[in-house]
Amino acid sequence: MEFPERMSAKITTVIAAHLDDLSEEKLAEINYGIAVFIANSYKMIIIFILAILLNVFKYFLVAFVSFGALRSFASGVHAKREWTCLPASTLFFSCVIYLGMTVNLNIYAISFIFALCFAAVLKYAPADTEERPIASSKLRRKLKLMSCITVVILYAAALYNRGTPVSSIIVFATLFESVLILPVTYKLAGSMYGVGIRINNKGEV
Amino acid sequence: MKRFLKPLMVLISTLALLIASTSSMACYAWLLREPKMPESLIKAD
Repeated sequence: MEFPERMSAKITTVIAAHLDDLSEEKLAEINYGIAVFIANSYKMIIIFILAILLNVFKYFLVAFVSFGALRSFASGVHAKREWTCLPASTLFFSCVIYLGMTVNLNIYAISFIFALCFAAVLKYAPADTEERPIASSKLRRKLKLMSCITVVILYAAALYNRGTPVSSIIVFATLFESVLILPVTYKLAGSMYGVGIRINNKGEV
Repeated sequence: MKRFLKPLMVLISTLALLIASTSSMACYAWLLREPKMPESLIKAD
């Protein structure tokens, strides 16, 4: 069991001892909610501090919001292990910020990259995982629509800020997130793509 | 201390349930690893 799950299991045990009217199902959901919170918050704090120390907090925030906005709806491949997650996240954001600060993209390059991202999102979003399958086709349609709208908004933001590192950072954050939803990335990471679709088709988890 | 423990547990449980139910509709785990979701949260048609 990984660190967030260990911590959440301990907290859930304390909760179960104090609130005895909770069902097993509800406790499992509480346990999951706490694990999600812990898994994200401590890594976020470390990366935020690192960005402040490296004096790139403003650019990091742009990358974080652009990436996060699209990832919320499009999802994508996740690290399998806790110990690979933090270095991978740090490396990911470092690459986005470094490329954004060094590469100046013109309007044609921005449009071309966003066209690729839009096509990827249109075809493969939402890319769920074995850990969090999206089985409902209604929800999948809604998430696909939201992902497409987010790409369009990010494109507008990149064009509005063109000629500055902010524009390039938005472009690279969107590009990297679009790569994370591709089936080939799932294959390379050893994850299964389209788990939710399989559950919906066969009716099994 | 004990009087505050139960309301605190209720608050933590409520927030955890809120995070759990929203994360079944959108991806919360932006930073590359997500815990396994309980089956009760998996929505199907």
